[in-house]
Amino acid sequence: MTDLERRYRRWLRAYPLVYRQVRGEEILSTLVEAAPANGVAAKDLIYIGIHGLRVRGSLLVHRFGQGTLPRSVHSATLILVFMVVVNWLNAAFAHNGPKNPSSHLANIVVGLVFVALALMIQAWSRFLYAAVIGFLMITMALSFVNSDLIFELNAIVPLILLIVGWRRYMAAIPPAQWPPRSPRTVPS
Amino acid sequence: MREPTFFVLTALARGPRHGYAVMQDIENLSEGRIRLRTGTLYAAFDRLSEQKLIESAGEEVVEGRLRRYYRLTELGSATLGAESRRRVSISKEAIRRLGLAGGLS
Repeated sequence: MTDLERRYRRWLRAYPLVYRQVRGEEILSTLVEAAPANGVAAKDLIYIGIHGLRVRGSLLVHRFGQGTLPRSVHSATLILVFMVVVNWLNAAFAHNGPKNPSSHLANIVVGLVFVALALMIQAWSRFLYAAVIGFLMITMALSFVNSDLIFELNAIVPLILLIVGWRRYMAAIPPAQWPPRSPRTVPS
Repeated sequence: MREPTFFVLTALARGPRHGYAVMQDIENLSEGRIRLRTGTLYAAFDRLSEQKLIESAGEEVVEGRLRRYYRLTELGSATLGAESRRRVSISKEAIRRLGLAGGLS
């Protein structure tokens, strides 16, 4: 394997494994054939990175909402959604909300974070599920140090539920495949 | 239909091509104006395959490297034909309105 191939192959990791298994070798061939005489084309690497992220995103979108979540994970998601509502209601109506701009903004941002966490759980991705648990654990730990953090103990119930549901969630994840299971087939 | 998509379909209109050949063909067809990057090309291949406009036409290994060939499907040929006629029609109208018809023949 040439140095050029090695470098391109490293960049192909931007694609998910399931995509690389289908297209990896032919993309590598095309990259090598199209490479300029003086080595790697930086623009090619950027476009490979962008396309890789798009493929990852597309796989996540197709997985979203597929299958049935384990009950504890489902409950954790519902609690997170409830916390979104509480935070945004607090931002909108609490007496110290709109009058205190920083608290008002913090409630909105925390609500958005909970939305993101709920979506990440629903994405059927081992990495994102672990990231949610890691995020909640870190914020919990930080809340012991800094009592001003809004998360504090609010997140302990979903955190426990997610840890309890870990094994069932991992077992329930549908196997990845390319092209995704329910392709959109409408020509533009 | 966006221009790069039109060019990819046009490049495949003469028969099966592999990725690099499509890139070269597009560069020639566009007189150097469009140079598709590999990531963009495979994004287009993914999209067009999903839309059933192109399909894989086999593969071969050349100097240890895999080449996969693509070709137009019937739907792809029909779509390219319709788009080409539409573009010709618009171009003719533009030429007529500019009063250039005499100078072009």
